[in-house]
Order: sequence, then C-alpha cells, then structure tokens
Amino acid sequence: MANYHVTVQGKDREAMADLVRVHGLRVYPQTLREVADGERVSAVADEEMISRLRGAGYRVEEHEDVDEDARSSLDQVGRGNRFRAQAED
Amino acid sequence: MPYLNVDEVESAIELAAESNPHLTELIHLPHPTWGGRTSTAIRVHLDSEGSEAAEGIYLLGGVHAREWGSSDILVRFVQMITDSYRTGTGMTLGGKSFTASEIRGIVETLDIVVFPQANPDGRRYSMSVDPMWRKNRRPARSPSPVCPVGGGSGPGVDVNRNYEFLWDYPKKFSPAAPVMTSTDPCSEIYRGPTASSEPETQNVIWLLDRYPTVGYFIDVHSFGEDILYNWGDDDNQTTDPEMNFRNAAYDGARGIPDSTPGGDPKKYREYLSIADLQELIGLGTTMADAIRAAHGRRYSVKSAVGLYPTSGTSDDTAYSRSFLDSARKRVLGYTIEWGPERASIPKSFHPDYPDMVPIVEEVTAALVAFCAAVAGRVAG
Repeated sequence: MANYHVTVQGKDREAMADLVRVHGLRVYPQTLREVADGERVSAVADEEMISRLRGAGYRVEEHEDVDEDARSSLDQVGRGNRFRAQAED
Repeated sequence: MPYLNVDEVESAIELAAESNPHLTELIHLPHPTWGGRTSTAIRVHLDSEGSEAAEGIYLLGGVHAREWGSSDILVRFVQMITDSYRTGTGMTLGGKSFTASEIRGIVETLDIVVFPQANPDGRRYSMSVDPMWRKNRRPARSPSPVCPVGGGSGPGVDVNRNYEFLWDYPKKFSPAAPVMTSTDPCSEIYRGPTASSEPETQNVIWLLDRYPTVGYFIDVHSFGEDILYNWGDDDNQTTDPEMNFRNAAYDGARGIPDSTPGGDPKKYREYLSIADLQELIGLGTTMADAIRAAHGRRYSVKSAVGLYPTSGTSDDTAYSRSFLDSARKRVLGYTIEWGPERASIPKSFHPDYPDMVPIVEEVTAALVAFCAAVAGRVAG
C-alpha cells in the first residue's frame, strides 16, 4: 500500500495530540504549526489511515507518494569509495 | 559530489586518523551491529596517546538512517578541524570564520569524540532499498508480527527511542501524554524489547563511559532548523530538585506540557539547575549565531519538549547520567535538527546534495563555534 506525505489539520491541540495517542499516526513534530482555524502537522499515512482521519473530522491534504519520491534520492548516493582510492594514492 | 556511502564514512574517518596520528585516536566500537559491522569513531586531541584533556565534547550522527547528511557533516567537521590545525590556518565556512588560534585552542584543550555513523546497517538499507528507512536492522523474530514494508515501515528499532531515559514510558508518563515512541515492533518509532537492547545504542553509551572528560553531547539529526536542549519529556523547571525523572511519586504524571489546552493538571516539570539551563541556552545560541553567520539561516534554540514529548532519547540519557550517579560528570545534551522542511518529505530528510552543501557548512560552523566557546572557557 502506498504511503503519502500528508498535511493533517485539526481543530485544537487535543485533536493534534490524538493523532499520536489515538490514531498512531507517523507525525513530524517539528512541522506542527498554528493556523487560522486550528493546527496542522505533516505526517506519512496510507490510504486506510487517511480515510480514518477524515472520518474522525480531520482535514487531510495528500501530497507526494513518499516511496516514489524517495527513490529519486538514490542517485544522490556515492558509488565506490573515494577515500579508499585517496588512501592508496 | 554525492552523499558519502557507508564504506566511505568509515574510510574517511580511518584516513583522517592515518593522516593525523598525533592528533587523533581511531576507535573501534565493541558491539557489532545486527548486520555484523564494526563501527568506527575518532577522538581528536593533540598528543592523544595517554594525555587527557580537561573537557570533552561528543558529537554523534547517523542514528536515523534516512538523515544522510548527518554523517557527512561530522566527517567534514573532522576533516576541517584536523586540516586547519595541521596547516596552522584558520577556517572559513560561508560567512563564518575561525582563526588559527581558535582551532589550536580547540585541538589542544578538548577531547572531541566523533561517532559519525552510529547506525551503518540502517544507512546502507536507506541508501540502497528504502530511502525513508529510519531504524536499525534488528531482524524480525517470531512471534513478532509481519510488518508492512515501504515508506520506512518494517521491523527494526528506533535507536533514538532505545536509551535508558524514561524508556518505560507506559509506566513513567501520563496515559494522556502523546509520547513519540511505541511498543509496536512495526512502528517507525519502536523503542525495542528492552532499554539499551541494541548494539548501536550500546556503542553510543560505551563512548560516554570510555571518555569521562565528556561534558557536552550533540546528536545531529534532520530536519526542522532547530537546536534542541534538555529535557524532552516535559517542560523544564529550576526550583524543585525532587521533581525529576527518578522520583517514582511522579510516575504517570509526565509528558503533559503546560501548553496543553487546560494546562498540566499534575504540574509536572523536569528539574535542571538554573546554571545548566543558562549554559544550555547560551551555547545553543552560540551555535545558532554561527549558523546564521554562515549562510543566513535562522535556527531556533529551545527545549526539546513540544506537544509530542519523547522518551529513550540520546541527549536526555546523556544528561541524566550524572543525576543517577553523582560520580559521573554532568553532560549537557543537544539535538540539532538541520535543514528546513521542504515541499517533499523525503527531500526534507535528505535534500539533493547541492542543497546539502550549505547545510554541511552551517552545521560544521555551529559545531566549531561550540567547541571554540567551550575551549575558551576552559582556557579561562
């Protein structure tokens, strides 16, 4: 099942605490922000979790598929061993 | 230039040690990882054989597998500090400069213990299979549940929830506290079967035991542009030493910050001395100032607790040790969360490398500034 970066908005801090206490959502605490009509936080969730959160009254925005997006990062990893070559020079 | 892979981090540290035998001590950690890998750390101090520094700083990175840049930062730190000392030159990182005299003061005054890749198995898995992987690679064992895979899910332990400090959160925290840890082996923040069960955790603690000069501990993570200091379980207080993590009378009361709607009914706050709090904020601000001077980014300096308290973390465990045993030196603890939140969550954890370059510079500047400030105090 695909995992999505989501932004979850709740009406108050109790609702945001319930994301962890009740729903076991993978939130990123450092992204918690106050907004005009509540609070919001970034998280990762699959479709089942997204449905559950919406059913519980949260506003959920879906962003990128994190698996697909993350795979593009693999070409940022070094190949071979630059330091071993340097040590042998 | 891409991120350092697992072998490169180890080779870079070995090369730094070989190139600077009078400045460094190469350390092989005693606890092999689940994947059978022996981890490597390095101590930087002039004439390290047999001589003892007056003060020590311990820099840790690579705990969370997907936060690739942390190991790169610490390797760069070691390279720059040893190169600058050996050549008798200063150091410039973006708009932040350090004089040759400051570098000399650091290397000749301090023990700097650097453990750049605490979770090599996880890093290798993240860099080759699942880039969102966070935990170590402890294998699933019957009767563990079958975990879903992908997006960072699967078996394994979150090393930064496996340390001793308030590890037993169901007992120590309020049932109403939204604690960022879990007893579920499939969870990304699984705390492990027992406190300090993991070889990666044991290696981190082994270094604290091995180098009793260490008085400062900095764990490098991403993301958020935050410099976090003790404590992470609840709000801080400086007036009641009996209200602390050791006191069983407060079991079940922790983890409800005052900012919770309606406040904290049991008014629990974690104790630290006013002197420690002031030093934590002062040195944290030193790092934030260096970061801003390097490339203009503004990192916040704040206590680690937020809406979501933590347990079993490295920085609080390091600081808590002198409370548990007064013979141990006090170790002030920090966590740096480098880099901003980006539109993409994976790229927040490991930005494209060109975007990582200024972050490596700014956090290296912060660490050098921290060391210079501590060395300056020791020198009087």
